[in-house]
Amino acid sequence: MKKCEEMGGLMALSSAGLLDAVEERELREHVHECPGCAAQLQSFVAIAQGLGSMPSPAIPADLAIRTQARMAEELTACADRRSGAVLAVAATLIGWASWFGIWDLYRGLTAGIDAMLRPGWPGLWACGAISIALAFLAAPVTAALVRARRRERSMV
Amino acid sequence: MIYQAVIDDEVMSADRLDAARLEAIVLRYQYRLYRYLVRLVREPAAAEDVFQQTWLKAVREIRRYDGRRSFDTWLFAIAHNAAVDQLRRTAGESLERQELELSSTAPDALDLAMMAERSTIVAAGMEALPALYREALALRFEEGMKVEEIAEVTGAPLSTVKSRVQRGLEALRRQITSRCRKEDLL
Repeated sequence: MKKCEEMGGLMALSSAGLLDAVEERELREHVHECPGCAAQLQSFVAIAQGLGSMPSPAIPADLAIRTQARMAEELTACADRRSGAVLAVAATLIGWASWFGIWDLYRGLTAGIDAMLRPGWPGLWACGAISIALAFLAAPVTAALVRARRRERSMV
Repeated sequence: MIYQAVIDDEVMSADRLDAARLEAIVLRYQYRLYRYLVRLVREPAAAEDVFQQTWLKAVREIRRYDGRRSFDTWLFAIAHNAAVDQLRRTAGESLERQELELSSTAPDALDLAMMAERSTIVAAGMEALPALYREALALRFEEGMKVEEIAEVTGAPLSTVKSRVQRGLEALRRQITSRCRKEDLL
């Protein structure tokens, strides 16, 4: 009886193919001598076979098509998010980099080419203000561009 | 294995996913994935919703997919998480609770009924099981996954997976036996 109780836990696992060789052999030996356990094991095996051949639920005919359409939208949105982020970073970097360029250009136009190569202060604050304003404008302008492009796509 | 390699190749180049590749991947997995989700969430409408969520998440996460891992388990793990969220939203169902107390002696004599409409009876019995067991049994017997793969999909330890398969089978057997008795089939 104790043996039957011990083996009881192994039967379900055996029918699922989850016993190791030693446990499987032990179970088979017991079942060979015990008709009650043999019947129990047989019912587990029957259930396992039934599980493997259950009728599959009918899949809605257009589910794959609807899913693909949503995936395509998601891919576009992902691509937009990526390109928007890249654009924003690039625009900000360009804005900040322009600080130096505008400063040099300003000096070249007002004091001659030689002045471009010499350090100096005249107009520094004006150039700084312009270039910082450009840098701060870059991100919202990029966002507006990306948004406009998304709207255009959604209309299409 | 060759089939799996083809799938993996497609997925690995998913950075450039186009409609044709997407179609191939969704179409190849639609039956298995939908079946798994119906077993787990039971309601076809909910399964449809989770099916779509799974693929959308897959699109978002595809860059994180490690080609050394099986695509099946990666995809089913996403589906598992989406289904868990769905079950949490559904009143009265969750994957966390419900480990059934099993009676030590289940009645036998099941064979005659099983011979006749085995798979239909089993499918009906499955529906009455807790989600944890339904999932373990569906992955093991319908998807043919190894314990290690089921563990990867569900995020549970190996011993827990084995225990769920065992308890699920025992609960299913009790379920079927009591149903057969009620219907006087035995």
